[in-house]
Amino acid sequence: MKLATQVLSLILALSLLAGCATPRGAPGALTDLKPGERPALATDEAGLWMAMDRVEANLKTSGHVVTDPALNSYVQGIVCRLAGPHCASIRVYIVQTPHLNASMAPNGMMQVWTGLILHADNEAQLAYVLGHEIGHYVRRHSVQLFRDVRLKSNATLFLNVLAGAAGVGFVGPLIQLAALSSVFAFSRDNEREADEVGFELMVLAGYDPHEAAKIWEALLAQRAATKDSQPSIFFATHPPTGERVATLKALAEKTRTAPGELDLGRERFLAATGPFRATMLRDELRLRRSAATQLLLDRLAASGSAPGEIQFFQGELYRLRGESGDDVKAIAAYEKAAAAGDVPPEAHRSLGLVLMKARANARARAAFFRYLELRPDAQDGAMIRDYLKRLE
Amino acid sequence: MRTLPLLLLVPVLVIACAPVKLIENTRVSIGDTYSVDPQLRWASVPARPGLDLWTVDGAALDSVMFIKGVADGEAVFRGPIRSGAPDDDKRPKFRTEMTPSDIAELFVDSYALFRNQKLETAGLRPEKFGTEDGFRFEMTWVTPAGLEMQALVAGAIIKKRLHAVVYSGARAHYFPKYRDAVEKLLTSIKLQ
Ligand SMILES: [Zn+2]
Repeated sequence: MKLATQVLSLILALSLLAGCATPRGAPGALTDLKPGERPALATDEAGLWMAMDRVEANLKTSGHVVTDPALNSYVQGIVCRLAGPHCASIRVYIVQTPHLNASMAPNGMMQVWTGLILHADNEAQLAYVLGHEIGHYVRRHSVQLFRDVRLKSNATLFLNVLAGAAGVGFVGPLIQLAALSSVFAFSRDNEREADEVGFELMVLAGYDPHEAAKIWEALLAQRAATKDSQPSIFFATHPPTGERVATLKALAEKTRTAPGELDLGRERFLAATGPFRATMLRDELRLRRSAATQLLLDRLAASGSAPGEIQFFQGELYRLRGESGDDVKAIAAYEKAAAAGDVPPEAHRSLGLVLMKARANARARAAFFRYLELRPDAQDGAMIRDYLKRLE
Repeated sequence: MRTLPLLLLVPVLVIACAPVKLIENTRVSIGDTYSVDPQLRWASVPARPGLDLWTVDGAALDSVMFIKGVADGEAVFRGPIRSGAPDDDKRPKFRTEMTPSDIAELFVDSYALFRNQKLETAGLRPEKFGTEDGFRFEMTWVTPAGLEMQALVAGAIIKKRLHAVVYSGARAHYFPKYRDAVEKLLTSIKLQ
């Protein structure tokens, strides 16, 4: 119930703001946030920050955040490389969820969802999206939006959304942020501006500017494959349009860069995110959107890294999809994975399960034995030994 | 677009606000397949089609869910879930030829439909469900609200249908609170 209380005080804070008779500052009259700058007390902006501080406190202690220090310092490092003097004011939270999103609150809380990391090819692509979010922050778009909304006397929208959230009893960071990010659907001008800032920051940091359009292209393809079944919050607020891609492509063409100096950061990206790829792919597979996941696996396979792991997940996709002929495809993928070497022990269990269904008992037994050999303390060992008995 | 967040807030298992009914602490039939000794003073709360849901402190904190016979090709959770969740026909489905390993995966994927995260299973093992050959496993996850949950799942395929009892609760306090009583409830299962 602690969470509900927090949200109620958040609503209270915002209603006090909304009740102010005269808004301070007109929309559009905002200057960029200076490094380390905090809004003056008793302004609507300070109220917005305070509200976000509470959301942040809530997020920090929730089970959603990836706590691994290496991955966190890697992403924070990219932010610092991009944001320069603003670095110390931006706090990165990596949220474990297969949905695609990154967001930036006015108080400096940045969220990077693991679904975004999984869908980036390299550090330059991730850096571009982070730069876009930093753009919203430095240009104070959320404050501008908040004032616009209030001028249109729609401030109750904020309150209604949050009050709705409070009604459930338990309100957590994901719900709040889903709510907030739809409220914070920035104007097209703000989006264009953030695109430009993101692009500028990545170029200044020495990243390859062509990667900006490439990640939008990948997301465009991803959205087309996902259709309407799982609309993401990020796509709702950041439509990956052809116009966006074209603008960024044109910008990249115009950018003068010395050949051979452009940084993709691919090796660093793979080293830092590799240990989490299996977890991220497992979360992705759970969405059971095989067409979109197939696109992702194709991209990962083409990149050539961790071929055994990628083949294993290709097998998992076939096994879980279970269309006619998928069992044969799954077996082939698992065998390819095993041949590639860097395969998780669970690949042998999956192979055993498919072979057991195909009544290839001897081969199924061999696969299960291999699994237990590689994972002697397997959490499902008792069940696997039961299968082995039945297969005798 | 802007109504999306409110739709996200549909509670996980409870659909409507129908009256709560106290469960008598005498032998109770679950559908027409088996009966149990409840062990505790549970309240029955409204649930999705094909489910019975009992709770002591509120379904968000602790509950016993009886999954009363999922047929081949059916999803575990039917009915509206949230805006953006796949329709019934695109949800992960039960198949009669599923192994307990597949079923554990089916549960995890079905719980993921509610935007639960960090879903893990542990301790999958064969265990009798009444007199039928069945299985048990444990499951942990984090709810969209950030609450860490734990569950004990016991089930079996009886006459080609998936039957299961899922005891779940907030990991820190509620799950351990009624665990022993639920273990006894599971041992009390008698097929009809
Ligand atoms: Zn944006």
